[in-house]
Amino acid sequence: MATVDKKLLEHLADLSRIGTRDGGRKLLTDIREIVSYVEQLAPVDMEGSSTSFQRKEVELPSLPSNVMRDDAYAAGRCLDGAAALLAFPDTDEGYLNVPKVQ
Amino acid sequence: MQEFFRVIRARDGEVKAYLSFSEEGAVLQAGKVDAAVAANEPLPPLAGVPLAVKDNMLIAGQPATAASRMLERYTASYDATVIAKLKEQSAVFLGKTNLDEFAMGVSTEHSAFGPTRNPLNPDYVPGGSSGGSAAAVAAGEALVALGSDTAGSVRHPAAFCGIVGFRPTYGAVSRHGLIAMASSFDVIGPLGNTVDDVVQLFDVIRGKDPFDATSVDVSGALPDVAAVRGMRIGIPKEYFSSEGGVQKEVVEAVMQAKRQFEELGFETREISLPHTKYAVAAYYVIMPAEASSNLARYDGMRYGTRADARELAAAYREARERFGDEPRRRIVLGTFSLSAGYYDAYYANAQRVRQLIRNDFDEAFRDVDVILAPVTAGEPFKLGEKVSDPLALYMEDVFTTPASLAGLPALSLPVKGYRTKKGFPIGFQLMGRRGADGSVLGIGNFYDTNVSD
Repeated sequence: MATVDKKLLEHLADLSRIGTRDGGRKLLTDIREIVSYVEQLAPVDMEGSSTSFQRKEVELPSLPSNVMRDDAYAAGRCLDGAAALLAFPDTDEGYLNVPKVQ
Repeated sequence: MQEFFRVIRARDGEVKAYLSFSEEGAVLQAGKVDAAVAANEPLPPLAGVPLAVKDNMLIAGQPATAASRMLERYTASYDATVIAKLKEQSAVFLGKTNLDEFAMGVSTEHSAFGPTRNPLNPDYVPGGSSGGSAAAVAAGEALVALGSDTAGSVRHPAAFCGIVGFRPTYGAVSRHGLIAMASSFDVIGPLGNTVDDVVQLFDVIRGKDPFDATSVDVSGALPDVAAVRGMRIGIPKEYFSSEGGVQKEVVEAVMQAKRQFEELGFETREISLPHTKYAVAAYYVIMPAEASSNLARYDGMRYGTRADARELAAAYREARERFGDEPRRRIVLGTFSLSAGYYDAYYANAQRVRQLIRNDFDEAFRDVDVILAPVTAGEPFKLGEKVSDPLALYMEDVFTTPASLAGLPALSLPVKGYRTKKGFPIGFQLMGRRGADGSVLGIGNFYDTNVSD
C-alpha cells in the first residue's frame, strides 16, 4: 500500500493550495496514521458490491442524479445583484476585483 | 422568549453554546407573534418557538462562520431553505451556535472560536459537531435547535448532552443554504428535549426543494403511530462486541432500553451487520474526498476574506492559511485518495464497502423494522483529552457512521432511568429503513411518552 513520505505530503499540500505548518511534521504523522487505518479495507471481500450505487428503492433516490431546470428567473428565490456584491470583499462600481493572474 | 435570553445571559458565559445572537430580531419576531395572539389571528404550529441554529446554516443578513476563521467576516446573503420554512412559521431565531470547524469533529473543540462545554458538567465536551446546538437545548438556552449530521453530528452531541436528536433520511431535508462538508452524507436534523419537539420541527423543515436536487419528499404521518404496533426491533451484535470499543456502562444502558421495549410488548431479536467494523475506515476515505472538493471554494476571492497577495497562487495559499488543523488534514487526505494511482485502492474500494454496509442493512430490514443500538462507545470525555489524537476522535463515530453511509433515518435519545457513575445519561439510537422517518419517530415517541425516567 501507499507510503506517505514528506515529498508526497508536500505534493498533496501543493495540489490542495495549503501550506504545511512546522515543516509538516504533525500533519505527516497524522496522515500516515489515518492512511494506515483505512488500509484495513484492502482485504475486505467485495463479493456482491460495486462502486456505483444501485437504486433499490425507486421512489427514494439514494444518490444524486441529473436534475434539469429551466434557465429562468425564479422570482423571490434568486439572489439580487446588490446582495451578491455585498458578499464579495472587493468591488468597484458593480465589478468584482480579483488579484492579477501572473 | 425573554426567559431564554435570561438563561443565556446566566449560563452562556460558561457553556459557550452560541457564536452570535440575534436578540433584536428575536424580540421583533416575538412581538409580532404576541400581536397576532392578541388579535386572535390563527398561528402556525411553531409560531414564537425560540430556536437556535448551527452556525453552518445561512440566515440572510447574519454571520455564518462555520466556526472557521475563513468565514469570520462573511455575512449570509440569503436564507437556507430550512430557515425560509421556519420564517413562514414565525419561529424566533435566538442565535447561531458553535460547532467544530466546518462540522469536522465530535467534541466542538475544533471550533476556531473556542470550545463549547457540556452543560451537565463543564469539564466535559458536549459532543459534536453540533455541540453548540445540543448544549443550548440541554442548558435551557433554546427550546429546540437545528444541527447537521454527516456521520453523527446531531446524534452524538444529543447523546452526550442527554437530549433527543434526529438524523432524517438522506435528502429528506433540503441542504440549500447549509455550508457543505461531505455532500453525499450531510443532512440537517432537529434537536430537542423530547421526541415530540423533534417531530414538530422535522415536520416543518422536511420536503423536496427545487434548490437541492438530492432532496426527496418523505411523506406520511409524523409520528407514524399506526406503524408502531407490532414493530420488530433488531439488536445488532457487532455494536456490543469489544471490537467496537464499547464501554461496559453503555452496554448496560442500551440493554436496559431493550428490556424497556420488551416490557412495552415489543419483540426484540439479535441481528448481524457484519461490515460494521469497516464503516469508519470507509467514511474517512469518502468524506475527505467530498470535503476537499467542497472546501476548494474557499479561495480567498469570495466569502468576506481577501488575501493581500498580488498574485493568484500566493493569494490562494495565503487565504487558505485560515483553515484550522482538522480541515487541513481532511483536505490533504481527500487530495490523496482522489489522486491517480491511489484512487482505485482507496476511494473506489471505500465506495464498494459503503455498498456492502448498505446491503447489510437491507438484509437486516427483511427481519426487523427498526434497529436499536448505542450512539457512542462511551460517556462524555474531558476537554483536551483526545483533541490532539485525530484517530481517537474519528473512532467516536463508530456507531453513528453506518446509518450515515446507508442514508438511513436514525433517532438518538437518552435511556430512561440510567446514569453512569459520573452522572451522565447514555443515549441509544433507533435506525429505520430509508424513508421510514415517521415510524422511527413513532416508536421513539412511544418510548419517550411511556417509559418514565
